[in-house]
Amino acid sequence: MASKKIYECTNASCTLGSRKDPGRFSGGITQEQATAFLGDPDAPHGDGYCPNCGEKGKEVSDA
Amino acid sequence: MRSHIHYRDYQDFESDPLFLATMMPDEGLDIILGQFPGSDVKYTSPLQCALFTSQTATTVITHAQTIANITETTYTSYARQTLAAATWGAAAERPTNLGRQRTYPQLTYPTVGATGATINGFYIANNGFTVCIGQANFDDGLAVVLATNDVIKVTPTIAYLH
Repeated sequence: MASKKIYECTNASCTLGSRKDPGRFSGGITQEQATAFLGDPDAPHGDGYCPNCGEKGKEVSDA
Repeated sequence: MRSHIHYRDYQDFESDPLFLATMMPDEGLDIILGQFPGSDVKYTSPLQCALFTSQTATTVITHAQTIANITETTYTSYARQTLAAATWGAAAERPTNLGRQRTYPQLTYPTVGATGATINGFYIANNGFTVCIGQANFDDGLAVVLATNDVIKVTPTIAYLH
């Protein structure tokens, strides 16, 4: 787990984490997931994009 | 006056049962819950809430084991979720009259990507993720088999018994 990049989803309406505290994720949303969530096959995806809502996450260093 | 203390030749202390009554009442446990997990003056907040694949769906580590004996899941996109001191709910009864507890709002973990996992429960660790504070199976005693696109949600509770 040590070398894995961790991101925080700053989208307030995303359910990742709890309602009050931003959730964390590693990796990112796949192109298939992004297309399903956002309806756009060209939606940004991959490392750093929240797998729960598709928004760009903020990298955190303390994980 | 001199006094003497007489010892029996053999005294089996370990097998002697204790017959004292104890009680930590609601008001006392609420003070303890106010310190932990309630006060970030007492520890570094947030705590970390992780999912494990070791042990089984109905077993956890022994009292003498450590965080090193727990295997954290590595499903695709997984990350630990945080537990901020100020977010824990108010102290309430642990039904029925077992003690007092504080519950955290439901946590949602990242949607599972390409590779899933079988989760046997969750554990709460200190901020630096070097010490296990508590490990628990899920309350239905069942493992959660995560496949691609699944989402797991956990509602952690910390309880102190009377």
